[in-house]
Amino acid sequence: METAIRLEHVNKHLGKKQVLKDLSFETYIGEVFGFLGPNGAGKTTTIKLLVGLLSMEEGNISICGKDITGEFETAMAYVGGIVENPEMYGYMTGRQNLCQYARMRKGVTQERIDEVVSLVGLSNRINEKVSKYSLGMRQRLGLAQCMLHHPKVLILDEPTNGLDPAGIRQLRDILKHLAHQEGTCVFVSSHMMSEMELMCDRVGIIVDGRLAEVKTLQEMMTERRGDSVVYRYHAENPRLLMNAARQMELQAEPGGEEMVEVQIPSGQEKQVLWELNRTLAENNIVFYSAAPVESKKLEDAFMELTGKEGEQIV
Amino acid sequence: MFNLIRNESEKVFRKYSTYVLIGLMALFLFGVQWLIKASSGGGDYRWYPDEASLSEEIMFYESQGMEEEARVWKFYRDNLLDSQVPADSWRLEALRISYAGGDESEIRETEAMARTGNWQGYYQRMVRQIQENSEYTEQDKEMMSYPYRYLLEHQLDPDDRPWQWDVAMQYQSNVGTVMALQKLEASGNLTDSAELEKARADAEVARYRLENDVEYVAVKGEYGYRYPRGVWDAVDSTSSIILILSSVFLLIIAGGCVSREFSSGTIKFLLINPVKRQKIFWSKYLMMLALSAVTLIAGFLLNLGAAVLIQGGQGLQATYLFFDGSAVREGSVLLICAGQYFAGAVSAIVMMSLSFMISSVLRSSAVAIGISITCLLVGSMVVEFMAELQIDWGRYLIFANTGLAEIMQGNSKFAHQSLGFALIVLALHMAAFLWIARDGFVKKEV
Repeated sequence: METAIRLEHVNKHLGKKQVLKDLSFETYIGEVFGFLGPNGAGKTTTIKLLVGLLSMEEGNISICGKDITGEFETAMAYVGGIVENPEMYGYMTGRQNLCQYARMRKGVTQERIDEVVSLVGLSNRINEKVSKYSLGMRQRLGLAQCMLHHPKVLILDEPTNGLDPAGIRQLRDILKHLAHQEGTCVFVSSHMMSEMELMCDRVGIIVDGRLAEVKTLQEMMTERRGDSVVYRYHAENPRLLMNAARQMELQAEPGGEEMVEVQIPSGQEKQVLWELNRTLAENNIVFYSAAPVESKKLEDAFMELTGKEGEQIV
Repeated sequence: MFNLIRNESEKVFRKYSTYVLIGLMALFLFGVQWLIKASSGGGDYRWYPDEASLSEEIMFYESQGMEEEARVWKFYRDNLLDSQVPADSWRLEALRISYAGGDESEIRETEAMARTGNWQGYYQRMVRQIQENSEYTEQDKEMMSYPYRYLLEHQLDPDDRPWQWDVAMQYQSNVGTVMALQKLEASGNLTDSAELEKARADAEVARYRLENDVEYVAVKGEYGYRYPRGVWDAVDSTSSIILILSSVFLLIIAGGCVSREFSSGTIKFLLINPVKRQKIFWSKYLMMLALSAVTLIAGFLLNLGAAVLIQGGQGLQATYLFFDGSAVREGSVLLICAGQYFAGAVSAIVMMSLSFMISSVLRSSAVAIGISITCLLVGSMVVEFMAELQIDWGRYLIFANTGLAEIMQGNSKFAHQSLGFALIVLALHMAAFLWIARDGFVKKEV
């Protein structure tokens, strides 16, 4: 797989504080890469380094093989990005703003501008002054601006900020299409775990300036699950049920009033359930319902990994 | 690069406030021109004394022991009161001369001519007296009698005060100066030959005007150029105001150029582009330079246009006359006027660059504009102060070197300040401004 972004041993200080510590990772063409981390971990700093807003201190960053310090213009031609909130020239129209960026890049025609505008859904409002746009509209315009020049790498900082649910879904679809069908590398940093879960192929977690993990989404979630599905039984007598399950060498824990959570090993679900239910029935252990609990979310995995719940920001 | 500059100019011209500024400036410009017209009054004021003021004059001169002068006024009181003869009339001057040096018959003759207003007779007599004076050479006689012969030939009554009369009298006075200085030169007592040169040049120009019927003329004086009444005078006297206006306009735009990108956050999008920061920096500055050129030129033309409109085109056809040592040459007043204006325009560019630099380094439009406007208005005062206090290193300050027109004429604030020196100081300052600004922008962590 072709490398889109490569960081090697990147260190960065902001003032006296070391914000990034020996950061190294790669992202590839055609994937949606989620960049996660608690507040203050260094996500925005990394992104700013990637796009040249901050200067490199130590280490190398290359985009599609081009070093961003040595071959800045070539490297940046591959990149489209939004950092923090998308700010435009409020006294100009959306179209005029896009024309500004079109002029700075090669090969962006009027048709392409129209194409992108309709892609993000702004065709009706593109000729109004940006100062009259809502936050969601500005976000869409920012996205349009990124995509004008068919970049190979899209770098997005909190792109769902301000979008309504329809907009979020639309964005998700656009990004996945760009990655999987057009071969763009989409590098997204976000806090919305539910969104990241639906969108990302691989995920990198940064904590305190250090890279904690880089895994595929599947790996991230199944690990925590430990390869089993949790079923919740609404039981008449929870203790009886628990014992019965444990006798079958299944893990069972109380899950609230009258509830028992039994871990059924995935891959053997049907078999084990059949056995368990039959055992419970034979022993007259009554249960009203049994249903699979939603598997652990990315959010939980994230919390576990970063070990922070409502702590002070470093 | 062209595209970048186009981007930058769009950022300026799509802003509403730019046009508000331009509108205010144009309004101010027209206002100033109108004020000039309104304050210039209608024509020359001439004094027609009444009996009371005459008595005052007479009493005054008698008390001072100036008998002849008193006699002149007495004559006026007795003969010319209420006759619409102005106090600066040739008649009184004629009487003065006669009372001072003439015999009784001459005095009577003069009085008769003064009474009837017989200027032809008077001038004819002048010509005769000059011809008969054996002290003068033929050449001298020709020159001394020329003004009177001219007026007689062209039938120009001095009491009407035609412009030719003023010029003819100027010629007469110049010729007198030349002859006096030549005498000194001949006897080896001439200290300042430049004075003689100047008197000669002035005489030549005056004569040229008469011979070629040039009513409106601009000439080079000791402290700069003098323009004829009407359009050119109005334009010249408002030049400095227009320059200040243009400077302020440019200052304001330059002050926001870089810092606005930061304060609005658009800098992020500007920099996430396949364009080196340095290129972006220069595109902004080049746009400001182009805008400066356009503004300064437009300011001059608009001012000229307003003056022509409001002054009704008076004096527009003026010529610039100068004596190059052998003959009188004609030049273009427009070129001279524009030249003076653009020599002063240097300060506008320098202040604009200063504002641009502060904007780039401090990222604050307000500070940039504030500091540069203060420098613009106060800078020259500070330098004058330093010059008076003999603080010599003041010559190295930028403000001492922006008045290129004055320096070229030798009226610099400090001694021995040549044009070359001024240009070098300016160049060094500009280089420093741009270096600092560029450095600040390119190295900035966003």
